[in-house]
Amino acid sequence: MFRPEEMVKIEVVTLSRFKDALLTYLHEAGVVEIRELDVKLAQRDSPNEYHRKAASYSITISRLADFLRAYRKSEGGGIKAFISPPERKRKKYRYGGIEKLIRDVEDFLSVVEPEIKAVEGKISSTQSEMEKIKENIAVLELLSSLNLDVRYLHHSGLVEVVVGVVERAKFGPMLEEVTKTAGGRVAVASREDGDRVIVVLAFLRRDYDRLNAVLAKHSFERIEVPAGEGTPRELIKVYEKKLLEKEKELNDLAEEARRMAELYYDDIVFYQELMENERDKATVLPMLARTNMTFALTGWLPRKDVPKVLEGVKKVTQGKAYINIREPSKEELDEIPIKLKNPGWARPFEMLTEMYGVPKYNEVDPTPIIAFTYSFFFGFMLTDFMYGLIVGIVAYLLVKGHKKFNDGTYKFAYTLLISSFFTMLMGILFGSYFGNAGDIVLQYVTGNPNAQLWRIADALRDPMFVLMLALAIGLAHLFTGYTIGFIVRWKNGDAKGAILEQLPWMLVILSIVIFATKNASLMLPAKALFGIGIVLFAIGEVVANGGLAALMIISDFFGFVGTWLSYARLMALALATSGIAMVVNVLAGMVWGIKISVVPLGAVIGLIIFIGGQIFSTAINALGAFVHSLRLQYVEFFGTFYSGEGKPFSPFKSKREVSELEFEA
Amino acid sequence: MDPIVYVSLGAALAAGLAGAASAFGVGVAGAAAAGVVAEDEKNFKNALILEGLPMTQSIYGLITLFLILLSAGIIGGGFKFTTANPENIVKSAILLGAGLTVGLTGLSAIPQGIIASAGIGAVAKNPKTFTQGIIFAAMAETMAIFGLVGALIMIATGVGL
Repeated sequence: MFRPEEMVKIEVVTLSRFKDALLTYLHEAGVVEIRELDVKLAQRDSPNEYHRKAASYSITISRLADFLRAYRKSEGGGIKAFISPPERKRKKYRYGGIEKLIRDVEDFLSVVEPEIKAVEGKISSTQSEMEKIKENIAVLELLSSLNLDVRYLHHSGLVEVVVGVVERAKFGPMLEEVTKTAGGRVAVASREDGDRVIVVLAFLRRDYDRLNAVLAKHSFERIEVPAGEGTPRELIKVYEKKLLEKEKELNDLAEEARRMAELYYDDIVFYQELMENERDKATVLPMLARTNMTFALTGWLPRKDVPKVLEGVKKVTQGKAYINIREPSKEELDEIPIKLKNPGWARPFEMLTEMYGVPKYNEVDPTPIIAFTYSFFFGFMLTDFMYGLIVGIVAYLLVKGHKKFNDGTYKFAYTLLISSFFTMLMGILFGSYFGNAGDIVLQYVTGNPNAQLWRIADALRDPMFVLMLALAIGLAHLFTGYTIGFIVRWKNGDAKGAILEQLPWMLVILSIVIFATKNASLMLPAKALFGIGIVLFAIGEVVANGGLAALMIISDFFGFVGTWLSYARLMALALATSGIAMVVNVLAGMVWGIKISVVPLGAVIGLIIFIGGQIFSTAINALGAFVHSLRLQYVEFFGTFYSGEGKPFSPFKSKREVSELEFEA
Repeated sequence: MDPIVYVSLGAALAAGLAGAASAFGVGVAGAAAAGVVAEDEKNFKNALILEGLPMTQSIYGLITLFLILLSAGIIGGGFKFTTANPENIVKSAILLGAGLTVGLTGLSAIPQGIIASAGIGAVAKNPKTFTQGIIFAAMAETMAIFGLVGALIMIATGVGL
């Protein structure tokens, strides 16, 4: 807690023939972050033929998977799958080296790929045939106004027949020029269709070249006339029948594809995962150094995993390896990857810290603190027992359903669940149950119009109390931040920074607290503390900014005041919650008494307004509480001491959702 | 002016200005949201939440409207400031001030909408930036929150509920 996981550096040199096995072991163990090894004498390693094959097969397989996914039977879905998604089955694969794996994949693909490709090809060709038929039908519909047998619209013998459309304005001049050029040896049929004219021209084949140029000049658009006999209307029926046949064919093919999806989809995603993991494994190869017979790798790992890794490496390399574990040196401080280490109750909150940035290796991990302050602020801003209950129930269901995955949803729902406890607690303290709905019910039950549930203060009637509370909480939060910053800097040997940047504000905050007690005998020490704080702060500004100090003193001082006042949002959002809840209650109350003869219409509408309004209010206020609670951590609290500039630990690790590797050294 | 003019102006300006600004903000963000949904429908949920952020100012305006009406007795009971004596005029002017504070700070919904719209674009490219996008947009809301804090104090201590 408060410190990131301790890291050590590992260096391994061993024989090349163990490379695949060692990398596979580390990939499955997933506890070492491999770093580039810079050795001048040795060469860099590079992916071999099998790694390249793995990369290319993973693309091939993912294409097949994409095709089959569209034909897979959809499972459940909806809200149940969101709250508690089913766990996917993992299939075992016995790993016997990358060569064997590639062979297995090739065997699998040689069976499956042609089959799937055949269906895929048939489906796409049927679809394109259907498109063609639809185009033909569209052309025929256009020609149907001509009522000519389609047979006559094709070339025959010495006669050339051209069908097309031309703009209405150009039709007259075009016809004139065509007749002139052909010397009158042309037959024309035409129909107007909107602002275009459909034209059929029949002329001698030897005139074709000359007439073609004329037609092009008038932007005559030619139409390919579909083959067949009879009038366009008759022919449309023939084509529609063809279309129906093709549709049936397509349905059969889709059925075939569904059958294939059922048969092969699970295997395909299984092999896809295996190939993608191989591809990922190959990405570290350029970081290794190699000679003819040996190779070397280096990386970081958590100290607690050292015994396990040592044993594993020895087993994989049959003891033929040089392994060195050493402490990080001072120069490497910025290089060390950061893995957060917290007890189970705070671990899901690491997500919030990671979102901002992890601490440096010699800094404090603020997760345990924000686990409390984030949840508490969330509760303060929502402050309603019933809203807390609603949020809590939703969060509990999500936590239960997603615990096995340890995914983002689980972590987020866990933080919500903790926050909902504070929400309910604050709701009880301020007597808020759906805003003032609790009071209204109590007044109705007791018959006393002024009855109120127990509360420490009425937030809406006495907002100053809530404001003071919010600002006091803000001071405590900021003081914690400055104190942590002071301790960390002092420990890391930056005493000057600690005294000039953190200490002044600690003193100022202490003096504000003493002022607030209004105890006359303590006024002098408070003034002294305040004075010392301001002087230290001014010195710090001069040291840091030199000539600009005068400006910075003013802006930074008011920056501190602004940061502090920013905690007023705790009060504003808390009151906004009870305000919105009250608005909903007032609206519901307005229609409550309406009755049409004996039908209590008002009560029904009122209930709808109440339930809908309170759910909306829960959602919008919970969103506000989440956003602003997080903001108070990131902007106000982290601003006092936290850099978040560490590099997060990203271990060399396989992704296993549907596969499991059985692997023996 | 009669107290009723101050009170109604205060209520109208709080809900009206803040509501109009929210509409602008949601409009700007909504245009971006429609664009990214066309690119990929999966962006819908994230875009919707970001689009909704500039709406809070209108809620602050609405709460202030209700509190002003409640404080002046228009809701629940009868109008308290029927006679135009100095005390009633001062109290109703304070309510106008409170309404104006929330209305004017509610204008922050417009820049918030601009930030949210940029956030929506960013989320479409990289869904991991969702929370950061929300935090950036929430920055602009600070001023509206300060306005609400001020107005609540003015109404509760200056006039009383």
